[in-house]
Amino acid sequence: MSICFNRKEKRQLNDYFLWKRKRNTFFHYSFLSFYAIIIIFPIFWVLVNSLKDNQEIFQNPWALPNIYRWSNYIKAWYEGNIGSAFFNSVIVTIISVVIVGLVASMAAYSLSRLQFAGKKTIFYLFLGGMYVAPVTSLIPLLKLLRNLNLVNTHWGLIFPYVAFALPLSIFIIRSYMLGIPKTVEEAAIVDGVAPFQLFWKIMFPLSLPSVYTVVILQIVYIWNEFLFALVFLRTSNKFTLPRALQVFQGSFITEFGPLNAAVLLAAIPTIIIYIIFSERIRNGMAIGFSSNE
Amino acid sequence: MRKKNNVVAYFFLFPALIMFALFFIYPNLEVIYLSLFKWAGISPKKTFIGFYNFQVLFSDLDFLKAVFNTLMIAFQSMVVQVPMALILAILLNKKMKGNGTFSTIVFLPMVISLVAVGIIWRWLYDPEYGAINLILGKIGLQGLQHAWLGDVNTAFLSVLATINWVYIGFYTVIFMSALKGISPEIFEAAKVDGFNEFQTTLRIRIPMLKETIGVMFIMCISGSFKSFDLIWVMTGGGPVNSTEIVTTYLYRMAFRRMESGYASAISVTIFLICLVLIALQLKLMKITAQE
Repeated sequence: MSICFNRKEKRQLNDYFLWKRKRNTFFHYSFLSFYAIIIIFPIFWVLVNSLKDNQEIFQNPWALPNIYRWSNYIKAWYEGNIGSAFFNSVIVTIISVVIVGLVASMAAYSLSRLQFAGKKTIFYLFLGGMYVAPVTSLIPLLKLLRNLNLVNTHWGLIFPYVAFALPLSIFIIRSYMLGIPKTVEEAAIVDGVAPFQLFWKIMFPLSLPSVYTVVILQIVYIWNEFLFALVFLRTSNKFTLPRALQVFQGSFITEFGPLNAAVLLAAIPTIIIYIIFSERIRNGMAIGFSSNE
Repeated sequence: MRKKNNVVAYFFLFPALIMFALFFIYPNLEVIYLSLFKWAGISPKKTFIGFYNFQVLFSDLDFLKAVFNTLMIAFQSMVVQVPMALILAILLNKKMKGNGTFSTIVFLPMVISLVAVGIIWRWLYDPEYGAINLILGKIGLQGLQHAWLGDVNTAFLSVLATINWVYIGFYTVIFMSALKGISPEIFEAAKVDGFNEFQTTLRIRIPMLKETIGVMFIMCISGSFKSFDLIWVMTGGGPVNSTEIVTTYLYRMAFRRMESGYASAISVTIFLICLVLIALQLKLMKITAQE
């Protein structure tokens, strides 16, 4: 038996569903907008006030600047050491991610494609490394870097960065390689590609999407890394951005304009990278945690 | 196909293994050795004292306070960040206009340097010129104006708010991908049964996401034992030790008070906690070396 409605009832029912959908839509957008404002507001506030002098900030913190004082950025860049730190961060980050990309994909190739003694142990060793807090190795690492004469050098940051980036990177690339059908390699062997060349000619190019994910992800992580930079770097000419920012905050505590400018200069590169590659970064950061592969 | 290929395999593994062994495994092992000494860090002189550092550690009230605060951060993340992230993920997974932009915004704090985030929030919390007190003044709640980070009673809560601002987006993204894994037919069936959104969440989504939520809870704990930057920049562990966590305490011991042996004992403790959490997490995630 089917339920029959007369025309009036039908209209009422329709209205009800329409109202319900409207109510849900309203809730959806007001909740998300409210949350978005909470996220955006602090960044916007810093942006607006990075272009004012102290007097204007104190008198009129909410308004857009009367005069756009780009000089705050120049002051942060030159006097506040942000310029040289920016340059250092670029060098450290680029060298680190290039090494990570290569070394991790080589290791991932072994772990996904080859059978060898000790495979299980090595896999779990790397996997476990994903979750160990970097802070635990701080003291011996400093001792080691001292013995290697690498304290207060960029290589003294790059090597630990690479080592700590490897677990997640290997994990991501390995998962991707596992998804590439074996027939691809078998066909290549038939075509006469030597076993050692399989990686460079076939597997590495095919897994480039995951290598890009790793590289972009590590750019964000390494650009923002603070603890190692705090302990291993000593002189301001070697500082990376987070380290320089922290020192800058101490000395420019009363000059909000240049301080805000410095914060933005440090944050903007990763924000831009994120806006371009947002999907890739979000999935990459979640990949180590969410799935059964 | 099961042929072993040791030479080729280790050739490709070699660079990763060398780097990892030297700069990751070796330090994490040496710290165990160092924890058995009284050692100032810079001087070459070490005095063997066995497990004395650990004995002191577990009766060190400042350390226990730091452990308590660390666990409070973890607990708070479980009861605030995870549910909030679930709500956001459910909303963001709907096919609604603008959700792409909203997703981008929700995750945005995760890519900003925590030092920068700390500086931004320190200013927002500033008693005289900070946005929060200014807003409170504007809407007539002068009574609530406060030296947020300067007061022992509110410093920890204020730091927690900032931590939430950063990390809710992270858990949201994990939920979003996990929710996509639930087959849509189940939701169709729930709709037919007359479940509303709330019931669907309670009776279907949460039970289906049990493992994901379990992993998240573990991450809340391991994350709290990893965090350092934000608290170091915002409060340095103070006022008094109201916002001190294990990592800031370790740093203070190692590099301010030059008690490197003692700090190594803290490292070992954190390392052991991490190991237990890893084991739990791998079990939940069912990751294996087999393919």
